[in-house]
Amino acid sequence: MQSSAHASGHPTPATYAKIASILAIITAIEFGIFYVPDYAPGLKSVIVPAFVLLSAVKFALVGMFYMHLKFDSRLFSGFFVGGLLLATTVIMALMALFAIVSGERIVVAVPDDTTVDAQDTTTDTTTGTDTTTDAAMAAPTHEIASASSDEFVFTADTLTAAAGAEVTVRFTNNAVTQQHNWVLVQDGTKDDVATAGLVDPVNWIGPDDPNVIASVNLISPGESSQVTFTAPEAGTYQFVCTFPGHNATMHGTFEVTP
Amino acid sequence: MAVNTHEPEHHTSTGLNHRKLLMWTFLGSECLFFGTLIANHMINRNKAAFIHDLPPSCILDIPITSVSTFVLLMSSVAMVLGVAAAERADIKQMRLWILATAILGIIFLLFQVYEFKVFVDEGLTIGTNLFGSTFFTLTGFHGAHVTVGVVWLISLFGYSFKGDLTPQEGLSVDIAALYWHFVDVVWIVIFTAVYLIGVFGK
Repeated sequence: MQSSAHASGHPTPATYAKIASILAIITAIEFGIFYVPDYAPGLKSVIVPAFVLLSAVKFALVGMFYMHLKFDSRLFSGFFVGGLLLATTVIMALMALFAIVSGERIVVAVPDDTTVDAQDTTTDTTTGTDTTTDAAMAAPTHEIASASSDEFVFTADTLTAAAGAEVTVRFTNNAVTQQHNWVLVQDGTKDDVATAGLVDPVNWIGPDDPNVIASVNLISPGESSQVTFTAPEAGTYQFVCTFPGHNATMHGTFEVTP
Repeated sequence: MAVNTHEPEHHTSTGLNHRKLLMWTFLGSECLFFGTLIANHMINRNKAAFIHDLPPSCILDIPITSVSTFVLLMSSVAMVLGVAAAERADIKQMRLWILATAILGIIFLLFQVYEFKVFVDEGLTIGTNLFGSTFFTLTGFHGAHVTVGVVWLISLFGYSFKGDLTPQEGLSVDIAALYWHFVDVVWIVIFTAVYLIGVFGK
């Protein structure tokens, strides 16, 4: 049985050189397009598809001509394209599942919180009233920190307060590279709150999450921040760090005594 | 007389050379391998902890990486000219182009080493955050593939001094070329997904 021949439509070195020029030009275009946004902000929405299209063209040119798929047996194309399609499907499925959005992530460094801002305003979720502490920050009634490593744990397992008391929790991030927050939630809801928080890439706390009682914003290593709130009615609550993945081990119990 | 890049008659049920079919099957599986690494990076890079209060993708250098991408593309050109020379039984030209491909591959690897060193100096290592771990795993595996290709090409270069160009050897060059082009093509995807889109999205 004859092996398949290259006889028909075999590219010449001239063809290869032409393809090489096209590949080089496309790379130059990609490099150029990359800097277009500096001058034409309106084009941003078409630029990512443009990159994808250009790289697909390069991919196809190398595959069809340099790797000879255009001239070889269809079986080779079948094996390769089959794997390629499967890979592409997996990539797209994963991206859809994890909702890839490349958005701005702003880290607010608040080493010493001496200004009155949103974090100084606490909302009593039972009555819906806001109270703001004054600029002379309330002295912390509770101190808690993250482990002095990148382990996902707090330095305390339990915090206790009296029902109705004014509580000021000061949270310090002692980690090496990890960002953390401290969120007080209804008992048993730490994982739900963490999941709801995935929509907020700034603080990882879902807006209007009814399970959240009070929270300290996401802070970087070396920073600390605090929140003042009125302790809810007597019972057991939880506190947790809602940075994605940390909630599994970085949580504790907040006991409110009568 | 032209030497075709096929082995002497060896009966197969598909009529195709089995080594070549094996390479294409392997490349299909490699698509899955790199596909998962690329997907993993794209999912996790935006959830990574900031370094020096900057999103980690700020560390990527597009101009320099464009140059290294161009180098790798040109290595594919050299490779295809080497295969063309093998098919013409022009052993000297074949050797020249194989060596040129290997050298361009080494230049690409030097660019990668330089980039990695700069990143580590800036504080981004494989253990720093989600960006570092996914980025270095992906590009590290790609670099390892390029290295294997370079070793393969240099071996072919050395082996070509042993005697006349046989059809068997012509096929070996052809198959090595398929592997090399694939490694180039994977880099095209990585450059677009990790660098162009990754930095642009900020």
